[in-house]
Amino acid sequence: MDTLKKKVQETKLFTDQEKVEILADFDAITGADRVKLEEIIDAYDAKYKAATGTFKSHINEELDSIDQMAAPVDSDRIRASTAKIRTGLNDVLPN
Amino acid sequence: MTEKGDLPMVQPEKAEKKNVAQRFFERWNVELKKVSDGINAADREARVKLQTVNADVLRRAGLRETAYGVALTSLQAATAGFGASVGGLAGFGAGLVSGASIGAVGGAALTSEFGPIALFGGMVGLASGAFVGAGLGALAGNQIGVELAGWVYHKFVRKLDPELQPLAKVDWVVGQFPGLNPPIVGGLRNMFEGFFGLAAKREESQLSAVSAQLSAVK
Repeated sequence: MDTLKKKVQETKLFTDQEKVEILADFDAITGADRVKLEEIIDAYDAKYKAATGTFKSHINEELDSIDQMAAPVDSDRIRASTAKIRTGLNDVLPN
Repeated sequence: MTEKGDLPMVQPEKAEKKNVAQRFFERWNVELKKVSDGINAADREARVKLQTVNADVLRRAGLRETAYGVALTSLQAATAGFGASVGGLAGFGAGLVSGASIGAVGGAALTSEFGPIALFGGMVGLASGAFVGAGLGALAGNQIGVELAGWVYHKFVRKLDPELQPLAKVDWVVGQFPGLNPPIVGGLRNMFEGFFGLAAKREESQLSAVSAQLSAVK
């Protein structure tokens, strides 16, 4: 049960308000419905993770390319900038 | 002062840097669109699947049925119940009259020794008339409920939800099939529309926040 509660709390499928409503009366959900709910959350989270993973991967490829193309004189400054973008990306879309 | 026909001098280095930045943000936008579409499609699919989870808590959270679905269901149930009551009463009245008539005609037409049989026939007529009348009345009431709910939805509720307007009537009609309801049909339609890139834009996703954050970093 705790696993499903945690999934409800962490999934991007529900808004905060929806999460509050679900968790407030969580014990009223039957076993069969919990199984269905967990399957739906798992499927969504997997697709979300795959989509954001692909996004990050393509953006990182682009940033790698920018790092490599940087002229020596600008290299440090450009690497610092791309590193900031990578950090921001990882903060908002953690693995 | 530049003479007519002169072009402003652009340093090749700066132009190259600008091109690199421009290329990056073009790619960023393309990838962002792809990931947004993917997540929106997954979201729509999940919300359709949630319609199959019976938990009341999901209904209260607004996940199981949309407001118009609840309104339709309530209106339909109320009008069907009212129709069944009216139909039952009408059937009972019709059965009473027809049963009494049969009993009276039987009693008058036949000799007195057949009187009890005629009376029994009258009672059967009364009961069956009431039963059939109630059943037919309930069916008619339910149908009226469906039609009335559809009319109210088409006339009033649909206007409240602009995203559902174009094909909402189709949702409603298809949603009358057993096992379906308008929110499920609407959700499925949205899902298929999403596959073809036709769905209306959803509320700001978290990825828009990423864009804003990264723009700030830039």
